[in-house]
Amino acid sequence: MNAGKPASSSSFAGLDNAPLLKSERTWRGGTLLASSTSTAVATWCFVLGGTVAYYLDAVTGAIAMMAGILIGIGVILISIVPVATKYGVDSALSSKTFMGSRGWYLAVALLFVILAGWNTVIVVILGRAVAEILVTMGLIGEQARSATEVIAMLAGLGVVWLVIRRGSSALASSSKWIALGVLVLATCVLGLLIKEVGVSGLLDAAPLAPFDNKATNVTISVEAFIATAIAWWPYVGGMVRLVPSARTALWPSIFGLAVPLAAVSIIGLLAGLVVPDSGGDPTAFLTQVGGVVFGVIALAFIVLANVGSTMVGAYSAAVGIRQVPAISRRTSWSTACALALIPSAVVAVFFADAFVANLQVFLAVCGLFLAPMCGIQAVDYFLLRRQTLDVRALYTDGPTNTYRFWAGVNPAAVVGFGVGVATFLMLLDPLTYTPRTFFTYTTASLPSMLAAGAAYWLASLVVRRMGKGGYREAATRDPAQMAERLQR
Amino acid sequence: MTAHELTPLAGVAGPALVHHLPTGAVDDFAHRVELASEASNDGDSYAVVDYYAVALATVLVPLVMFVVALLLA
Repeated sequence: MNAGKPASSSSFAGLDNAPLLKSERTWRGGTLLASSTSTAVATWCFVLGGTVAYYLDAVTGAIAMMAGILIGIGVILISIVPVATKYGVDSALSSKTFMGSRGWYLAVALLFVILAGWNTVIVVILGRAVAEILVTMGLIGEQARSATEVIAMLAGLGVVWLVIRRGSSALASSSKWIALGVLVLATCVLGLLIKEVGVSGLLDAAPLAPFDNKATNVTISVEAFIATAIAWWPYVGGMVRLVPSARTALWPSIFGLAVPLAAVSIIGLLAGLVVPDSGGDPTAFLTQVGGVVFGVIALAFIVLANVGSTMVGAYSAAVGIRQVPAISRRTSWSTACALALIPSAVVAVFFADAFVANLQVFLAVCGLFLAPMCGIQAVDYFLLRRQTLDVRALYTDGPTNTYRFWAGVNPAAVVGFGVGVATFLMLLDPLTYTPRTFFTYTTASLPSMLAAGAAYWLASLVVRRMGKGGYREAATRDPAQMAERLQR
Repeated sequence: MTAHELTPLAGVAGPALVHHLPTGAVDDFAHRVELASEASNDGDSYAVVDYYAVALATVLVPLVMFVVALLLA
């Protein structure tokens, strides 16, 4: 076992992040299904679907999106789910075994950036909804729309900060109502679109700006949704750790994340095809298509729902950054909440429209960093550690900590990460979203994950030979020996 | 309030399970980690059949979808 510093509470990496004991992991499949659904469904699904409208028509786009989501969830199922369900630890902390006792701060940073990115998407939609309501009701002129959007976004972030700094328990029930409301809204949007152009109009609508190569259009849509599903990595660990076994988590994870996300995203795709300037965002057409009364009610719901969704995301991001002891010691909870919202505020003021219009760039960045991470985690857990972790070492630090490697960083993970990122960049430019070389036949995330995993495995052979990382103990440890050792 | 009672919040807030761990639970942190380190605390992993299920649902089915999408595009 680990021989790091004694396991006193002061030495723990993060007090907010206690391991859940098996007896406390009381969620059943139905609980996880409901929770996964409420996490996946928010108004961002419309915009995600809208990105595919550039490349594919309704039927092909729907199939490609579903394929991408399933592949991405497969990546999640072999990376974070087995670790989190077996040991009751969350995503960021689980990365300590392969990133190192200090390297795992990179995972925390990624978690923070990804949550901030999702928050920004819904805050921008919130601002647009408020401005649309005010313009529709004649309270402001069209020329004041942009300024109103910015003020509404900042006001929304202010409200979120005021609520979450108190550690609102209202978060617990808000998410499922938001998800339910978004599903109702999606159904209404579908009804409006059918009323407007008919079923045949939806099915016949042409993609907005496809590549010449048809296969590239399919692959780039699949890639966008692989990245979307992989981007749930930070959320999934926090949920499945409450389930006592990987088996129980398997199907609820697939159905809870895949089906609702696909359903709402498909409606976003249809909206993007029928109302080309909307990019799938319903705030752009609700009042025109649905009439003033319905439009204003639906937009008001979007405002409330997005405040709720932002609260959940910002709360998670604030907890995430407080897992870093240096930040936790120097910041109050209120400050951490403010830090979680600042990136969204900056984007809202300066690049709101550009950010949502280029959402695929954000998705590509998620894939760029998380695909290698997932590949490395799967190889580390299944091949190198034989599904056995040193839980005590996850919560302690010190020169002799099992996951200390060299100065808290695992060079094998650096190599794996580097190879994974390079592979991704070779296949897809994340900034311009331009495919390269054989991307059309492979996507970018999958080769990146496989290359990162392979490079990590090779580099870890050297690390293991040098007696670092606790791999030898993991290879020889079995549950009976562990229990016996603990009794002594 | 115990961590058990906090679980409904966890799924909503994702990784934000327990910023507000009750004082008693935080005091109990060291003991909790010791308990979590025991082999008997391990949750069950996938069974062999689950790997086939994962492969079917997340490799084979998407592959077929991918081919269908290519044919339709």
